[in-house]
Amino acid sequence: MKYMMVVNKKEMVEKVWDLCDAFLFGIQDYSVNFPYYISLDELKELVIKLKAKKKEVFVSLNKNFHHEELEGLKQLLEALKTLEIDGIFYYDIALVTLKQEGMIPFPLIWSQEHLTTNYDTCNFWQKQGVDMALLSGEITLDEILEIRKHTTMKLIVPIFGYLPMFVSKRHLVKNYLEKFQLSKKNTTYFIKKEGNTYPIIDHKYGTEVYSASILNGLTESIVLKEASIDYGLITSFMIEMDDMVKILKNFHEANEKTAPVLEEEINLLLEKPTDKGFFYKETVFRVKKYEK
Amino acid sequence: MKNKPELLAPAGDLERLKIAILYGADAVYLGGPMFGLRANANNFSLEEIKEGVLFAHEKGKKVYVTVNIVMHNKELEALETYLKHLKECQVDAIIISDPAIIPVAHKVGLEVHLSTQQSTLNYEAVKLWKALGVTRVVIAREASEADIADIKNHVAIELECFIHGAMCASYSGRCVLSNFLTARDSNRGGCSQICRWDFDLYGDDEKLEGEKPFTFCTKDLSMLKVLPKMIELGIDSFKIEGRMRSIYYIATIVSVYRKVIDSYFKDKEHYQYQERYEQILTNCANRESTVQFFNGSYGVEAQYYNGRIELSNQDFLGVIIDYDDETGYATIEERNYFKLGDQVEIFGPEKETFSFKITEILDEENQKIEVVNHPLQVVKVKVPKEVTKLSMMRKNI
Repeated sequence: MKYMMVVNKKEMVEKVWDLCDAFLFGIQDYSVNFPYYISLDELKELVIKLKAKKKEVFVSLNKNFHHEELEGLKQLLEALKTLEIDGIFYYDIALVTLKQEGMIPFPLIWSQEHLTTNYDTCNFWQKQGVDMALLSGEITLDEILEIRKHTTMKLIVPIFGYLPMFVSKRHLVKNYLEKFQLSKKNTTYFIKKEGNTYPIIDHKYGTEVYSASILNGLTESIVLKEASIDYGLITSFMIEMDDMVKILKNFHEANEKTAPVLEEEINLLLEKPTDKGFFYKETVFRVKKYEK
Repeated sequence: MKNKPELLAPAGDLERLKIAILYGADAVYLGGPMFGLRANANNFSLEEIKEGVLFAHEKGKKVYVTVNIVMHNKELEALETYLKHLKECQVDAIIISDPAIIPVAHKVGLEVHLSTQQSTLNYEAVKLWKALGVTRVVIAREASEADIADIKNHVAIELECFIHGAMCASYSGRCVLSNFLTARDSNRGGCSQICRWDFDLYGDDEKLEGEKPFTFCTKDLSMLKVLPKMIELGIDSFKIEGRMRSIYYIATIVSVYRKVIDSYFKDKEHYQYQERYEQILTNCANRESTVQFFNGSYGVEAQYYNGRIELSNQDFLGVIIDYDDETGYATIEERNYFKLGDQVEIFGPEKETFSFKITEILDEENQKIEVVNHPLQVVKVKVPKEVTKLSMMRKNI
């Protein structure tokens, strides 16, 4: 299993590149749910450096696109053709159309974050020319392993970091501050409920909310490796650079014996809540008294 | 002149299906026993779907069934058998969000509509759905007027847009707050509406506290003001949200939009927006509503900071279950308190709304009474005009 990294600033790339196999970048104006958005010029420069280090480079164009953004999207895809990109993540199905029409020469990665939950749909998109899938952070480890058994698609599984929970076009923090004439702050906002604290980001394109705990799937990464999952996704949102280096080292060193200790080291290092996400927690959707 | 759009109403159960159709819906959508996004509603059994389809088809109306969950592995196996059952029920289409359902639906001969859960906003996406055999796309609630026009200009496919009801605070499909906060899967019908919860907001370690708590909650959608524009865009189906809403809600919303659409088509030149209709819709839902994304008004004015207090509707006084044309008494089943002297109005299927003052109420023993204050109490009220069964009595608006 390769480690795919989402950095939270440009400087982090060089700091962690010896510990990662691939990098995933959000592009300014075309992506959501990234701690850092790169410009096209910065990307050009980084691709050269990363290719020299034999690293894979993926970009995520995972925004929902309105009609007035399509032209810009097509121009960006043209520009990306000149770069050695290893794949493009998408949420909006427009990208599949553009791939089928020959505008995207790169592998396409199905990245509808909460909708990538079963193998039939992986296979469906594969038939439409999609090459890989980033699996949902809300499915169990068993479900992931079952998907692996039933599709030949390359699979990416989130194994570390805060998980995205919510994307809105609305400016929910800005609206609240405006409504009650409260002053704007220059840091990340948080919302708190029942003892949990959730990061909430209000930016140019709307609002994003993240999980209260950091997913720490170091132990599970060993199972996923054995199951031939292709990439483990590690995101560094709100993680210090030096801590990220240590975390990546632990992931590299982990084996069946050492995993519990190395995982606990990460938990202690972070001084923030960590958990296993939905690896062992199956969500329900029918409240018993209403079951038929 | 554009074609008259379909008025599509929610049906939480058979009673509401019939109400929706009687009050003017051209089609209804409902959840079956499996794979629907309102897992905790009283969804239809297959037998009930069959009965509902029969009722609708007899009146020349259509029935669509939501099969719009995002499937997990274990759900895949039961899908084909379920879709075969729906085909046997002769439903007119299914509404899906997971595209893996498309080939299975086509195999069993079902027409497929794409749910708003895919948040479709542009023609490049719609092109692909059309190529995949989808016959209708429910456009994202975030779509602007220009987005919809652009899709219409590029792709010949039926478009369905929401015109009324509750809104997701997020892009549909991009919210799993419910999964994380309550372990209930929002994309499999378990949404616990975290967007209506209150939260404490912090920035720089400081609690940012307004007069009301922070919430994601938004006002409802009402497209009444822009309905002529929507008609002129050539949108094929106008959808009302709310499979868990009451019969009064369904009857009120459907009848208002029915009247507005019909009056626009009857005399487009002299059509005028009526504030009274907006007032009826607002009173009915007990929530404020706005146009939102269609005209770009999704800023602070679209947020709903109400401290989570939402009263149930007090306007709905009763449903007419019988009428005696010799005596002029309507038999009414009570839903909210009313009394002698109240100024009320009755609206019903294919009838003009009329108002009157209550002058006489009889109980079940035909004894005169002054107040009706027991839930579901059956009484007779003297009415000045003939009324039909399933008409509704409400406070004067």
